[in-house]
Amino acid sequence: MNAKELLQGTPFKEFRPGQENVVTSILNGRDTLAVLPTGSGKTLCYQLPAGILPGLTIVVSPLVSLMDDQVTQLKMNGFQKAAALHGNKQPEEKKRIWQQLSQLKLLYVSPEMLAVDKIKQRLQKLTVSLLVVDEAHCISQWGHEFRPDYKSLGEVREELGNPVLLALTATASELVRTDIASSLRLHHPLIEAHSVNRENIFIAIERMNEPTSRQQHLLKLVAASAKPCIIYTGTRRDAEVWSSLYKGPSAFYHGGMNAEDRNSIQGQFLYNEIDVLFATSAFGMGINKPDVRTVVHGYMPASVEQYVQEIGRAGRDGNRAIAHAVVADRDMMLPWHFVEMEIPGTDWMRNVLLPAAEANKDLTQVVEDAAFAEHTASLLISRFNENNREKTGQEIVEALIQQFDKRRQERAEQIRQITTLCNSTSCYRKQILSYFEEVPYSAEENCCSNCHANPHIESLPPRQRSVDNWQELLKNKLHIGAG
Amino acid sequence: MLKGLLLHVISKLQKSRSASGAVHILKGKRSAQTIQDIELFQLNQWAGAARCWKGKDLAALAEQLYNEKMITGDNRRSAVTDKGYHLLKQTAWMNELYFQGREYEWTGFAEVFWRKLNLTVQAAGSLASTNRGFLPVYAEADERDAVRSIIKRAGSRRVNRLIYEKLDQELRQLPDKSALIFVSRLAGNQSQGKTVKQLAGSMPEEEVYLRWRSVIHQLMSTEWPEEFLPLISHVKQQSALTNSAVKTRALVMNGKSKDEIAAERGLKSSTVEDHLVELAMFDSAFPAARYIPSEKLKELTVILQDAGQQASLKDIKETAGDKGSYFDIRLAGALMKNRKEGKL
Repeated sequence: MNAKELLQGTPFKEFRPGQENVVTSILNGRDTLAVLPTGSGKTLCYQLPAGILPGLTIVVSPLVSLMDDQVTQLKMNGFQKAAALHGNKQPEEKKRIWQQLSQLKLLYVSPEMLAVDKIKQRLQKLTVSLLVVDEAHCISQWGHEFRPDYKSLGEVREELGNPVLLALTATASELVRTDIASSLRLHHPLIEAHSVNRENIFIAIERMNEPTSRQQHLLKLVAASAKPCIIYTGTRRDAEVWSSLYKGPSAFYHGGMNAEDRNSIQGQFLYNEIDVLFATSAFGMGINKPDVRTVVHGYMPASVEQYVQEIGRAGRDGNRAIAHAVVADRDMMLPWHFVEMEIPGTDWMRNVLLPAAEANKDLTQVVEDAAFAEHTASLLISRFNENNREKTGQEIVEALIQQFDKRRQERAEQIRQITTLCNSTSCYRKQILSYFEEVPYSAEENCCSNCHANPHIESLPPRQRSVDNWQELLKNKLHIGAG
Repeated sequence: MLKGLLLHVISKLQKSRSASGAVHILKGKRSAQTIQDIELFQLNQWAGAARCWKGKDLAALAEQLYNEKMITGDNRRSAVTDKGYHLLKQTAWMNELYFQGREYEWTGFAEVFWRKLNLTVQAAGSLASTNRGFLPVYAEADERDAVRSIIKRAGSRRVNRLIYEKLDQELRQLPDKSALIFVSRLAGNQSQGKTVKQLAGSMPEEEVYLRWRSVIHQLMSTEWPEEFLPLISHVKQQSALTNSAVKTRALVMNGKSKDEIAAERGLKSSTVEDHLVELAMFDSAFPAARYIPSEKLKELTVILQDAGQQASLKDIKETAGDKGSYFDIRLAGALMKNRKEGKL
């Protein structure tokens, strides 16, 4: 069966650039490293082979909060035999997934889960035809979000009986690619690399000297921008405050909301019930919304990678879209604040964590109290679990401190790079391309705010205003009397 | 949020409990003291009303009431001030609500029912349109199964018509305000429910929340067509015990001690104690003698009777001194209550 035939029976009419080559390569049993930009449909690259290959396809993904979204998206598109297994699942739910395992075609797991022997042993009993490593740049310490648990995936692959391997990432320099290939022990892989460049997105960056007037400026900018529009705010508080100040229907979204409310807001945005969304970077990776016309960054992003990934949520339908960033000098404080949340300080490690570990205290609580980012917390705890009993607490802590120091330097470099980009007076597109070691060039028209004037982009027509009569509303919800 | 409700419950506690006693009632804490307070001060209506809230947030709310001088008092007894009563006057709407906390919130039944109902409406609405795929609202695996079975058995068209008729009929009997809030919360065809925060505009968030929950309670108290029995089946299946207590019960019946149960289930000793107290209160087959020597039970029962119902656990512990731990006293109290209701 060739790749094209597989598309029948799915909602997808044709392949996007890169997809067909990747699918064909996997079906031919060849290891594949696919560097495809955000929004180019990476999921389809493994969804199609998973459907027809014997046994199970395992997808390793570092973003636990995203896995459930991805399963939901697959099911919405008619792929039912998928599930996600990660630490945040209820025990009952986990049990259920284990029971149904032999009927599943696709299983998302977190790298931490794959480090557990018991789980590996159960997976070994199954036929695993394809191992997918999503966000594969996490494997390389040269990548922008190094995750130590990814390092052992090459070994895991062998333990699973050497299935075909697909490594996926949106951005990877030459150095990172080499690293991925050797870490995952890829055999003569097909490397399918596509540019991070999204020519349909106009890149506009504004610098503000006066950060106090930024809020007003942003709200005006959003009001005048093409909808649907996502505004990335630096903090949860800004998401709430800006949304409440915006004149017109809008909503906010951040990781501090409960699951039901997050699901609700996400759905309202997907169905165009609201077309302006103020969100933290927690939003918008799992669910595919093709018609976003504007992405606004209300602050300086943490890295060029993050910036490119987030503006990539605009214009996935290929139509014209625009990315605005409004930055001020003191914005540099914010990424540094995130660095502090992500990377525990040496003092804390030595004076809080180590004594707690040596006193056999509940580390989950200690780590939770320090309010680090999700993956930092799980890294700290997993380092102290049984796998490391042969090391002393002090050894574990000192090793982590070294690792964290290095990470801090990398982050400093990333912040320097994004600052340079934001302050630049030459073509932004060119600079982004050369940052990712691609051939730099400017678009002939509608390139960026250093090359051309901002283009006019049409909004999607808004959906009808909501009804305030409950009988009418109930009929709408149940699609009654609509013909 | 829930400020008015917390204040209301504090006022009902008649200056004999602290603000955190009120928080425990709203949070639905399964302790002998809280369960006793609910009966004593006739707070069944609001018991467990804030079960889905974070305890931390509720405690902060109580703190805020102190700071705003809505209540005064110490960590034993709180009283509502004149300023507080002034605010309470504005929450008269609460009395008109059909809110059944002890029955539907304390037990967690309302939340499960809501998730199943919401998913049913969303699925039935989406399947009726040409655009059949949808982003499902959150529901646990067995809840999804229940909804799937409803649609499979009756067919999506029939489910669509029946659920419309049922909701239309029930909502007609309610204030338009409440009906609109409830329907706006529902997901449907190409439409997601609005969050409580989004609906709070012309009325406070607290009112939106309580009106919405009241409609859920109202719907749960009515007869449902046979096709929809899986929506309410969980209400009948469960006893008064929490799920976790049911698991502990199995070990109790196998003759396990408190420590053995804690080890086997990987629970904290205090959690197992909560379960044992719960069993002592509701389960007539509870083998009390294994967990409290009969001599000790006798002594504590006398102390409890002398202290009277208004006494707090702390007061009783002071009187009892070395004669019993907090756990012993709670267990004795629970057993007393169980006997009084004729279950033992």
